[in-house]
Amino acid sequence: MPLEREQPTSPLVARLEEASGVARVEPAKAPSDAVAEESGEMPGQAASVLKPPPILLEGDETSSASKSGPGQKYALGPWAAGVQVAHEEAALPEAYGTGKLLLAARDPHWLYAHWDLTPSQQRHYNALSVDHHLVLRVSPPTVMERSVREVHVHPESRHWFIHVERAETRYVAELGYYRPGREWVSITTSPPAVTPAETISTDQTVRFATVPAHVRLSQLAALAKPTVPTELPTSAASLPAVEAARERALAELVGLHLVREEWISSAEVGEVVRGRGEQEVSGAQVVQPAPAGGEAESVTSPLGAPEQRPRGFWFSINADLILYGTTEPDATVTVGGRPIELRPDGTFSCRFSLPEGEHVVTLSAVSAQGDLRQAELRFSRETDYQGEVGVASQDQPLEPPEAESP
Amino acid sequence: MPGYLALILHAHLPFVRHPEHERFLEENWLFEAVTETYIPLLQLLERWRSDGLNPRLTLTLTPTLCSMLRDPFLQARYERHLNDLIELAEKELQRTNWEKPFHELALFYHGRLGGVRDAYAACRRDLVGAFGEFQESGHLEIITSAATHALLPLLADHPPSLRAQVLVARDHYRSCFGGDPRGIWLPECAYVDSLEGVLQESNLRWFVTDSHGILHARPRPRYATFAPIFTPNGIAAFGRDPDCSRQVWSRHSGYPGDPRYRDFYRDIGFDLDFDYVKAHLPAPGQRGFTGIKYYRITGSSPTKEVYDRQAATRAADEHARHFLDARLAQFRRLAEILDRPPMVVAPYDAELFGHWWYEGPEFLDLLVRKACCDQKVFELTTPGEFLRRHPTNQVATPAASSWGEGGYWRVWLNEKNEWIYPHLRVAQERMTELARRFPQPDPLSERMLKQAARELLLAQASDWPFILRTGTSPDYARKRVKEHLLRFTRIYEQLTAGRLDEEWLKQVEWRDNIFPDVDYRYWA
Repeated sequence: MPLEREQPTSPLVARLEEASGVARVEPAKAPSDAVAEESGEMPGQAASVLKPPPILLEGDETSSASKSGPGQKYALGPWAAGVQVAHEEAALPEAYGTGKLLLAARDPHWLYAHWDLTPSQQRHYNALSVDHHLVLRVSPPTVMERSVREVHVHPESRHWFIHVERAETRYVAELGYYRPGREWVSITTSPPAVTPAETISTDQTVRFATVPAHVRLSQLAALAKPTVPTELPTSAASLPAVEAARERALAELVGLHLVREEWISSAEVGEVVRGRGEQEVSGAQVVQPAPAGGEAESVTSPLGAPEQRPRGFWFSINADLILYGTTEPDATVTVGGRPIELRPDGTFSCRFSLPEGEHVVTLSAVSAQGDLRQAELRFSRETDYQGEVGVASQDQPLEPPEAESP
Repeated sequence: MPGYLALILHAHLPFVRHPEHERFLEENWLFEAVTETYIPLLQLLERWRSDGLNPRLTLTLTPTLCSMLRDPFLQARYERHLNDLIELAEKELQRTNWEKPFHELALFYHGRLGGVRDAYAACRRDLVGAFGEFQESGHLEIITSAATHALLPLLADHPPSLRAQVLVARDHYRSCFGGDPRGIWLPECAYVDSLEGVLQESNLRWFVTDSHGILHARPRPRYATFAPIFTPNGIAAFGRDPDCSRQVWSRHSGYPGDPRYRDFYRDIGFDLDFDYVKAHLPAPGQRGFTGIKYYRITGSSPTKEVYDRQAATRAADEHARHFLDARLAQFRRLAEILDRPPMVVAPYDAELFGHWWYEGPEFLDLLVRKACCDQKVFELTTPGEFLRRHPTNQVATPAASSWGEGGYWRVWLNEKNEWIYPHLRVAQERMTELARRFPQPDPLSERMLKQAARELLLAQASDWPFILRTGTSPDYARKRVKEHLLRFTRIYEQLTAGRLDEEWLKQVEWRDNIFPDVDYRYWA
């Protein structure tokens, strides 16, 4: 049962359209959204401008300072894990030579195109082209030829990310080139790809259905009946006013969150560094006004600001104590009451962190025949500091001294 | 009229299994998650049940995760890992003998790890079975996900691949839990309308999308994300609630970043002398996490303070209270606006609770207890239960969307990982070609076809492009995609040429042994 709209756009739609409008006007700061990415670099022109095309920076992480905070999905350490595996011999083929053009919509305004030409096929077409490179034409299928968007691709590229104007639109791509006289030669055409929607629907028709949980979906068409729900307000006169008020209230509860200042995704929980109440600004990240679909900092940008290094000169120290000894290999040794494993030759060593204060430790050895020997050692640490001295963590390898033979 | 809150935990790990190495770094993903998330979650469920609480959570256990949890080889490796860790905790008890705060923590870890070992033994290493029992007793709804967690919209232009990801998952669920799954967790909540046919075929009744998947549905949903919509095929789509997400996930103000909570990165595997820890590291020769961490987040400076367990538990209690109060306010407001009981859907990666956010299980426990005992404004339920009680809902088509950064597929299709797709496209078509060419294969060819299916499924995992994008373990991710594609191609070439190398096949079957009964005909 369609609900009458009392105004052309509801507050919810207006707020979201405004949000998307803001996002369209302000270019996104993250490299991945740079409109310039499709311009690429032509070989001849590249000499004077040595910046890599922004698209190549997409997703690049800046080197991260030592990390802190809750974990991140798949993290195995504070930096990327090194590869444990052996050197691989085979490589994937560069191309399969099917000549097919693949087109995928990545989000409301970006398409991805890939053409499966072998390097020699590509060189062959480049040579025939008056521009010495190929051209991608992208358009909705019904658009007139002169409105078709053209993208000149790098001679060695076999893929491109293309910015398109319209969300919720079917696009088709064609790969080809121009011969002398601007005659277009088509190499291949892609199947269509549809860009996702990014706005709230203006269609406010409401249709309900009752789907019994125990009926299989395959049998549903025969059984499901559209239902007029009894919960709707019954007074037709009050309907538009009630609906508008309800929409405004819902918009407050939900619409606000569509103009998100932060993206919430599983990849990012580990990037929380700051505790509550701390200001968080990073030069490397920019919070963008989000379109209705929501968008924010790149997931690969560093976690908040890099950690503060101590200003000026810094000095950290620490102290550890190593106890070591040797006995018969079949004896039982305890240190501070706890059993300790002997090496096959009967030697042992163990390490304690040595904080301030007085400490006592007893070493004892019991031979296989029950003969007991003991040693009680007493240590004391007192530190006088001058200036700011930190506590060093144990990252320097310290070799335990070699056990002396009896 | 009370509202409903659906807490959904999505437990997933990619299939990582390396019998060819004595120790393998990335297998640690599984071991850490079992120790810090899955077993603690089981322990919570156990305590809730024995205390007479029935919070009715929903849990995704993906097919790759279940395969690993049920694999005897990995079970044995996990036990070895756990025993190693307990031994390390004992050494730590000794080493920190004179440092009271660290010594207390070492005692705490030693006790905890011992408890985990006991729990693992008590369920006879069968975590999947243990969760299954909670489903049978009505305390948990377990749902499935795509076979190898592929990003389904990027497969959607090859319908047989889409079909295979869902049907293989459904078959695997049946072998784990004895019945059909009712709900499915779309990987990354990634939805596109061409999924519907395949979901309908498997009789999957509901899934979750990100908020804008519902808010941008056509026609406009009347209840925003506070009620599900039925797709034209009658499958229910539930939208993630933005408030619940922000409070927990947000980098600016979310709970896990509280300075009192444990710092994930200050692990003794990185902090202490290499020789001391090396026997307990996840991979030989390289530092890695052990799980014993002594510091709290503290703040932005690199100097961290010692983790204070009591303060952290207090923080979890405060946050549970805060979350509950926010829900109460939300439901009260919704009751004024809506003419039906609202549904608030709060999905999270399960590994957040306990592994990335160490105090997450405490938060969950406190939240569930408060929700069950201290209020009557809403009840905890599952989407499946909601649909049984409320079978009448608005019909609309959700919008293509995901919960990944950007809201669509940017994370999985960008300059770092786009190279994968052209290879997958070709492999997918070749799989269909093989499936059609060999409807009645001889036994050896059938083994080859099944292995081709396994290799393709493993290459399609969305984890690899995700990792390439986030950079946590990129060499490994790249290697996985390459290896599976190369193995697939070799099988394709052998089957096409009619020259089958059984010795080589045996090796590959031993290594990539997921889905033993995979039906390659799904690709036909």
